[in-house]
Amino acid sequence: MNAWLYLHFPHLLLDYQQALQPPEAAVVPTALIQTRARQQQVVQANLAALQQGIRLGMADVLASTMCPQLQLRPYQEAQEHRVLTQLAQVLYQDIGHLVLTPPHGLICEVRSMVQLHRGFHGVVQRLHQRLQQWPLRYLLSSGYSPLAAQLLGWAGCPVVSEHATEVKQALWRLPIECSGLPAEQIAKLRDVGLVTVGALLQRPRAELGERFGGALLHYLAALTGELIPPQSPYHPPDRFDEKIELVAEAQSWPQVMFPLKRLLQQVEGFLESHQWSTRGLLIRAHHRDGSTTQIKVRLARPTWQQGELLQLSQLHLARQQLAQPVLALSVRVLQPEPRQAVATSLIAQPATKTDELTGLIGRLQARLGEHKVQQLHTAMDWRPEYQGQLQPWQATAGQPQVTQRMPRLRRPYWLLAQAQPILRQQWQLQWGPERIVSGWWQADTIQRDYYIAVDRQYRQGWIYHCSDGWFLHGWFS
Amino acid sequence: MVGSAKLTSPADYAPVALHCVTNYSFLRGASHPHEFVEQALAYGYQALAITDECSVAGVVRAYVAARERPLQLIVGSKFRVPKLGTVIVLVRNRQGYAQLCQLITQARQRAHKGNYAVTEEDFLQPLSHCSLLWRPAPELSLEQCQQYAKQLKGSFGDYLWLAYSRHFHADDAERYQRYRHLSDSCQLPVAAVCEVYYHHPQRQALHDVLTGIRLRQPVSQVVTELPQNQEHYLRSAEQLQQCYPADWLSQSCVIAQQCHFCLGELKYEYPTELVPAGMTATEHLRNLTYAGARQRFPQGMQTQVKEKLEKELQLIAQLKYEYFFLTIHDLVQFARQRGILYQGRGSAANSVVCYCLHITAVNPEQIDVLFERFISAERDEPPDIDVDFEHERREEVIQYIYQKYGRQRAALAATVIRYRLRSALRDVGKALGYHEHELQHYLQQVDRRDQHRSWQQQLIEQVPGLDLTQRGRCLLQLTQEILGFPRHLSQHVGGFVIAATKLTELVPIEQANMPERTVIQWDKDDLETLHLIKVDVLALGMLTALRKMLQLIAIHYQRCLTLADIPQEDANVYRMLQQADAVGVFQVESRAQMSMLPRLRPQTFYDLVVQIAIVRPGPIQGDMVHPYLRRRAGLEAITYPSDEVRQVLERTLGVPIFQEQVIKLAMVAAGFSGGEADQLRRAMATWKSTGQLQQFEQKLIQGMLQRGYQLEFAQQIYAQICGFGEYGFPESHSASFANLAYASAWVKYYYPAVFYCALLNSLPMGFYSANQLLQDARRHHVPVLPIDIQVSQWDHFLEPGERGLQIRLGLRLIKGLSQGSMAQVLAQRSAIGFASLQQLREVGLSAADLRRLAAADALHALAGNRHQSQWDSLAVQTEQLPLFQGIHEQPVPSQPVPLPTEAQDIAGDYRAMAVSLRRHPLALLRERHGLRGYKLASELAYCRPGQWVQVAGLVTGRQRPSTASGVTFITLEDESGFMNVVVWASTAAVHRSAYLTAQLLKVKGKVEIEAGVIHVVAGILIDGTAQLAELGVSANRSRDFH
Amino acid sequence: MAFPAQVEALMQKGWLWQGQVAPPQQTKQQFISSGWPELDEQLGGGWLQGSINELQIQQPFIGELALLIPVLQRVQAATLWLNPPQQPYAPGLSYQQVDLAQQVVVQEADPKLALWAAEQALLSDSVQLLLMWHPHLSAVQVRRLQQAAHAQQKLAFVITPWQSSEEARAYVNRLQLSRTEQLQVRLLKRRFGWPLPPFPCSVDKLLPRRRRIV
Repeated sequence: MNAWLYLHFPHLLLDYQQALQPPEAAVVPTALIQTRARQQQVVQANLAALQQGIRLGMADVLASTMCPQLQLRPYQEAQEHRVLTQLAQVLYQDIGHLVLTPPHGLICEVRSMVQLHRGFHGVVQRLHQRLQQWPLRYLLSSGYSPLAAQLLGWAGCPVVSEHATEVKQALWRLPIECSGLPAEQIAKLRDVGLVTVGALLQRPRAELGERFGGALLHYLAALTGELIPPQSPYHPPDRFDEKIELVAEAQSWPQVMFPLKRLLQQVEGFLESHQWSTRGLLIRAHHRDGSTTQIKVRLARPTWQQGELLQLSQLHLARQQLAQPVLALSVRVLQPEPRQAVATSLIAQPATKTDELTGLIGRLQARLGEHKVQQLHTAMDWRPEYQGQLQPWQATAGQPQVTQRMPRLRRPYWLLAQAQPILRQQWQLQWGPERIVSGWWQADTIQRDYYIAVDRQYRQGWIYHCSDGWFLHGWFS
Repeated sequence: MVGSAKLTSPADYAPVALHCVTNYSFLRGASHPHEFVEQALAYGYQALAITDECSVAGVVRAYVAARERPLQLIVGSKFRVPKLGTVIVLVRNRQGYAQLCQLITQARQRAHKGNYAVTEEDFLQPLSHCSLLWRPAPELSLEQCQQYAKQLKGSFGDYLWLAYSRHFHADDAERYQRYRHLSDSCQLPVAAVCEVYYHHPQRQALHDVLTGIRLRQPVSQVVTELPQNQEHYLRSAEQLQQCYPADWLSQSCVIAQQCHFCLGELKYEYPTELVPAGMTATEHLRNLTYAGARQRFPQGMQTQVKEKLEKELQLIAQLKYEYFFLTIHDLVQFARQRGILYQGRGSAANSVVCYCLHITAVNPEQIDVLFERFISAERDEPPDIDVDFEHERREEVIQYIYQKYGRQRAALAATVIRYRLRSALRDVGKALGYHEHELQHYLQQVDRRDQHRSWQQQLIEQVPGLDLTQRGRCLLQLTQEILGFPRHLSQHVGGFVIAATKLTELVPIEQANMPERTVIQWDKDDLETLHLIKVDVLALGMLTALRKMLQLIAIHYQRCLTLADIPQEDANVYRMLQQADAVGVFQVESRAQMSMLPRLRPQTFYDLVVQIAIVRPGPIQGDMVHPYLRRRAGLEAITYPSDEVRQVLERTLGVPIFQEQVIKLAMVAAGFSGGEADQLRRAMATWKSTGQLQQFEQKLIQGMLQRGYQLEFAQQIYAQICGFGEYGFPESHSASFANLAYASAWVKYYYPAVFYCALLNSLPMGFYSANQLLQDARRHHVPVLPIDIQVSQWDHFLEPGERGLQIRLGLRLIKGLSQGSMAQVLAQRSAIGFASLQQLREVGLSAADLRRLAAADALHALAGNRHQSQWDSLAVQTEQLPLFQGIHEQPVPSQPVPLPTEAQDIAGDYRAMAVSLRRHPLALLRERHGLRGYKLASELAYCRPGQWVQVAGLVTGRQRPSTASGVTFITLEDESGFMNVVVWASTAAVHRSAYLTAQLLKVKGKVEIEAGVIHVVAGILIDGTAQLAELGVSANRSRDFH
Repeated sequence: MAFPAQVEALMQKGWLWQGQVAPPQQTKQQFISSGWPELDEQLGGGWLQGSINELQIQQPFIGELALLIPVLQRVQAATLWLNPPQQPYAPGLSYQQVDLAQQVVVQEADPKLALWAAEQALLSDSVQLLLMWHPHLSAVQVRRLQQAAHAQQKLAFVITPWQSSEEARAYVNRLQLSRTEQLQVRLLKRRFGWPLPPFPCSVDKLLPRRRRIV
C-alpha cells in the first residue's frame, strides 16, 4: 500500500503572485529568474511564457530575445517559503502528518488518514478539493517511500494508485538524470552504462558501494523505503503573524484590500485549527524606507470569521491616511483566546515605573499620537533639508550606524521647516558664500549660495541666495 | 569674506590653470584633454598644465590639440603622498621631464597594475629641474609643515609654492587664514591653484558617476565622496579674480612663465650597438642590403628593381631611418638562427630593401611595388613594419628583445581601453542604482548595426517611460557622454618601443597585467604624433602550423623544405582550390571565401592575392566584386578610359581592388603627388570618424576632369574609394598572406596526412574545430586512429599504415587532462605499453585522470569498452600501501556492465573530446527514422537550381555579416559534408525558437546553385534537437553570430 | 560663629536662606557647571541638580540654546525638547558633539498634554534634562514641575518670552536674556543671592565669529 503522497508545485511563487494581481496580468508572459553558476536562469514561468517557447533553466538573455515582451522578476526564496508554510497550514486541516520539502513540495503521510476519509482515493479527493481555492498548478504523486513519490513528481510522470507495483514500474523506467542524485554521481553512473533508475536498482549493492561510496547506498535504501530519512513534520504555529509582499506598490488602502482578504482568510484558518477567537488585529503596512504604519483593530467581541474581520478592518483603515506607498502588508493576531471564554476581566493596566526610554516613548506615543514624538535623523546628502531631518521615533535598536559620516561642518543649531523669503538689506553678510549644488540624480536639484549673516537684532542667521531670491533657512541661536 | 581685491587692470589678466586632471586619470577626470585646451583658449588662458595622477598619458593628446595655438602647454603630474598631502610636479625643462618620467616609473613599479606608491622621500631628492606645488594635508600641525617646508626647500629652492584652491566650501575662510599663516611661518609663497576635474560645470553629474563607478557603489550611497558643488571647472578670468587675492593669482602666472618645456623637444635616438665600430649606419645598411640582394636575386636584379633599390637607399639615408631597418634586420636574423618562422608585412612589403634584408618575402618582381606607400619625404613619418612570428614561439622573440636591450630600454606600447556602449550603459546604470538584469534587458533592445536610429532613440521607443523619469534621462545623457572615455591601460598586442639610452627619458613605464611585461604610458597614436618608432612583433597561428608541416615532411618523407623553396604555381593545387576544397587553408577557408573560390577560379599567385583581398567588406560595399568576376569570366568587356589607368588597373581587369591602386590612380589620373596620395590613403582609413575625405573629393574629381576623364568615371572612382573605408586591403599585405595560403594549400594537396596532423597540433587556430578538421581529413581518405593509452603521445603524430601515413590522435584532445601529469605517466610507459589499470595508478595517474581516459574510451586495450573500463577503473584501489606494491590481487569478478550502444559511444566521445571517429550522429538518425526525403549535403550538387529540398544537419555556425542586411548564414553539417543555408530575416522571425536554439535543424527550402556554389534558401525551419536528445547525443557548441 | 543647633539643622536641610554667600555645605548637594565660569559664579556653582530654571528671552534665537549647549554635551541620559520654536538641526548639534540618539523632540499644542508629557519625562529614569518652550506657566504648574524635578534630581529649563508681571514663581533661578553685541544675562532670582544687574556671557564662543564689516 503506497503510504506517501507528494504534492509538487513547480511554479509556486509565480502562481501565488499572479493570484494577487488582476486577471489581465496573467496574459503577459512572466518569468522568475535566479542566478545559478554565475548565470541568470529562468526558474518559474507562467502559461503565457511557456507557450512562447520559454523553458525552465533557459538563460534570461535567450528568453528575452525569444519573447521581447517577457517580464522578468528576481525569484525570492524566502517569499516562496512563506507561501509554502501558509499552504501547509491550509492542508493541515486534512492531513495530520505533513512535511515541508522546500522549495516547492509537500509530503503527506496517508496511511493514518485512510479510515477518516474512507479509503485512499477519499484522501486524494479531499486534497484536490482543498486545493481548489488556491489557483496553483500542482502535481500529485503517490509512492511506497517519500523519495519515490518525489522522484515521480519531479520527473513529471505522477502515479496515483494504492498499489506499490505501479509505482515501481514507473520508477524503473525513469532515466538516471531524474534520479535526484548529485550531477557528478549521475555522470559516473552514465559512464558505466547505468542509464536508468531500474538498471541501478538491479546492480548488487556490494559492488555499487565499493565503487560509488556509502552515499549511494543510503540513497538506495531511502528509495526502496527500507529507511525513512528523518523528517520534521509541520506543526501549526501558536501565534499568527504573516506577511504578503505586494507585486506592485499600492498607493491607497483600497488597492490593498485584495491581499488583505487573503491574509484574513489565513487568520480564519489559523483560528479554526486552534478553535480560538481573537479580540484584536494589528495590521502593518510596510514602506520602502523600512518604516511601517501600524493600525490596531479593536474588536467589540471575540470573533473568528473572515467576513467580520474584513469589515471591521476596512472601517479602521478608512479613517487612516496613507503617508507613503506600501510594499508589503502583514497581520498579527492579538490576544487569541479559547472560544468558550465568557466575560473578560477589565483590569486596567498599572502604570509601571520601571521603564527605560522606549517605555516612556511608548506611553507618549500612545497618549499624544505616534507622529508627535520625533527624533533627530542625519542622512548622507549635501542638501541641508535632507541632511538633517526630524522623523517619527523609530523603535529601531539604535540608529543603523551610517558607515560614512558627513564631514563635520559648521551648521546652525536650528533649521526652519520652510525657508522664509527675506529682504537682503536687513541682513549684514559675515561669512560665505558656501555654494551647494547637488541632488542632480533626483528631481529636486538645488543651487544655492549660503551665508552666515546678522540681522538688526544682532541675531546670527543662515541665509541663502538662489535663482528665486534671498531666504532665511536656519538660526545660529 | 575671503579677500578678493581686484587687480589694477583686470582687462589684461590672462589666467593660468596649473592643476587639470583629464580623463586619462582613469575614473577621476571628467573631460578629454582637448576639451580642456579648447575651453582654455576660449577664456584666453596663457598657460594650461595637464597634471594627471602619477601619469603623463594624456599630455600628448593635449599637445596635439594645442599645437600652433596661442596657449602654453605645461607637462606635469599630481601625486597624493601619505602624510605630506597633495603634490603637483611641473616640468620646467627637458631634464625635468626625464626626472618626472623616472619618478612616475618608480612609483608605478612599486604597486601592482593601476596603482602607485610614493612617500615624501621621493620629493626630497633630485627633482631639481621641476617646480613643486604643495597642498599640505589638513591634519598637519604647524611645526610639521615648517619641518617639511625646510626639507622641500632644500631640493626645490625657490621653485616651491603652497597651492591654495577655493571651491566655495564652508571652511574657505579658515583655510585662507591657515595658508596666510603657513606662508609667513614657512617663508613660502602661495599660488592660486584651482583643482580642475572637468572643463564645464555641466560635467559635475558625469564626474559624480565616475566616482560611483570607481567605488563600485551607486552615487546616492557615496554622497560624502562627492564634491558639494560644481566648482571644479575651468573658470574664466573674472571668476578667478572674484575668487582669489591678486598676489596669489600673479604667483601662479610666475610659475607658468618658469616652465619652458615642449613635447616637441623629444628626439628619438636609435639603439647604436647595431652598427659595427668604424662604419656609419648608411654604409652598414648598404652592405647588408646588397649581400641580401645577391641571395635573393642569384641571377641579378632587373634594372627597374635595381633603380628602385638605389632610390630607396638614398631616401632612407636622407630621412636617417637606417637604424629602423637595422633594428628589424637584427630581430629577423635572431628568428632565422632559432628556426622561428616569421614574415614581414604591412607597408614594409612595398620595399625592395626589406626584401633584400629578408624582412619580407614578397618578390618585388611579382607585384608592382609602390615605395611612396612605404616612406614619403613629405610625410616625414617613420615607416610602419609589422613582423608576424609563430604564435607559440613569439614569446622567445619578445624575451630576446628584453634581454638584448634591457627592461630600461624596451617596453610595449600601450592600448587605451575605452568605454563602448555595452560597458558604458552597464557602469553608468549601476552608478544610478539600476539592477544588473534591467540593464541587460535595455542592452538587448539596442541593435548596434542600425545606422540611422541612434541607440537612445531605440531605447526610448522600446522602453516606454524610461525618459520620463529623471534617472532615466540621466542614464541616456551620461552614457552618451562617457562613450570614448578611457577605462584603463592595457598592452598593445605586439608594438615594441626601443630606445638608445633609457626609455624612461622619453616616457614612463608601467607594469602590464601579464607577468614580466612592461608597458609605456603612451599608445601608438601618441608615438606617431611624436615621431617615435614602434616595431610590431605579432603572432600568427598559421606560421606555427606551417613549421610543424615542414618538420613532419622532413621526418616522414626525408624532404627538407623551407617556405621559400615550395614549388610555385602548381596547377593541381589551384585546381583543388577552385573546387573550394580549402578547409584548413590559410585565409581562404572561411564560408565567404569558399563560396568565392569556384566563381573566381584562381590559377596564378596573383589571382590568389586578389582572392584574399576581394572577400572583404571594403570591396563588397564598393561593389567591385561582381564587375571583376564578370570581366574574369569574359561576360563584360574590359575597358580603360586611358593608357595611364590601364597601366594601374590592368592586372585587376580595370577594377580597383587594392589600396595601392587607388593611390596610383590618384597620382596618375588626378595628378596627386606621392605624399598627397598617401594622405588620401590615411584619410580613407579613418574616413567615417573624421570625415577628412570630403576635402579630397573636389581635388580628385577636378584633377580627373582636367585630364579628360568623364565626370561619371571620376564619381565612380570616388564612390569606390569611400567603399574602401578602413577595409581596403593593401596589395603588399595580401601578397604576404597569399604566400602562406599557397604554401598551406600545396601541403594539403601533396601531403594531406601531414597537413591535418600539423593543423590539429596547432589548435586553437583558424576557422574550424578539431572535429570538423578530422571529418575533412577522412573525406580525403586520411586514415585516423583513435586515442590508445598504449600508443598515443600528448600530440597527434603520424605512423605508417597499409594505406599510407595515418594520424594517431593524441591525449591533448581529452578535456581536463593536463600535459604535465600525462608527460610523467607516458615517460614510464614500456615498449609494449601498460600491463593493467593498477599499474597506471602506480605510475602516478590520478583517479580523476583515469576516469577521463576511460570516458574517452582510451583504455580499451586494458579493460575493453568504455563502460567496462570505467567500471573497473572505479574499483582500482586508490591509496596503494607501499607494502602491497606490485601484488595485483585480482579485482573481485563482477557482473559485466551493459555494453554501450553506438549512440552512447558517440555521445561519450563528444562529451570527453568534442571529437568522434565513429559515425556522424546524422548517419544514426538517418538509419533509425530514415529521415525520409531529407537530402545529404553531397547530393545537393545534383539538384536543379530552384528545386525544393529538405535537408537536416547539426548547426555548426550562425553568421549575420553586417554587409548582408538582415540575412543570416547557417552552416549545417551531416555525415557527407557542409551545407550553407540562407535565412531571410522574415523566415527567422517566423521560426524564432528553431532559428535561435536548434542544435539539429531541419530545413525545407529552395536550392540555389551559381558557378558551383550551392546555397539552400530556407522556407521552413524545424527544430529536430529532440530527436538528437533521444540518441543521448548533444552536438558541441556552435560558433554563433561572431 | 556657630549658630544654635536648631538653626544649624535647618541650614543642613538647606531650608534657611542666607543672603549673598553660598553656604559651604551646599557643595555636597550637586551642582552642574553651566559651562560659563562667569555664570557659575553668580549661580553659586552652576545649575542646581534637581531644579527648574526659567530663561526669559527678549526674542527667540539670541543665543539661548548656545547657553545650554555645554549642559547638553555632558548629559549622560536622554533630553526631552518640548515644543521647540523650530526644528533642532542634527548636523549643527553633532558639530558640537551632542549625542543625537539621546534627543527626543515632542510637539504638543495642547498645554495640558504638554505639561503631562513634561511630568512623564521628569518621572522617567531615562530622561536627565528637560528643555521646555512655553509662553506662560502658572505658579501651581511651576511648583509641580519643581517638585518632580527635585524628587528625581533632574534639571529642567523653561524658555519663555519676557514676563511683564512680577509674580513669584517656584523657579530656582530666573534669568532674563537680551542680545546687544554680546548676550546680556540678568538674574531676576537666584537661590543663593540677591538679584543682579545684567552682565555679559561669552556664549559667542559656540557661535560663528562675529565680524565688524565697515
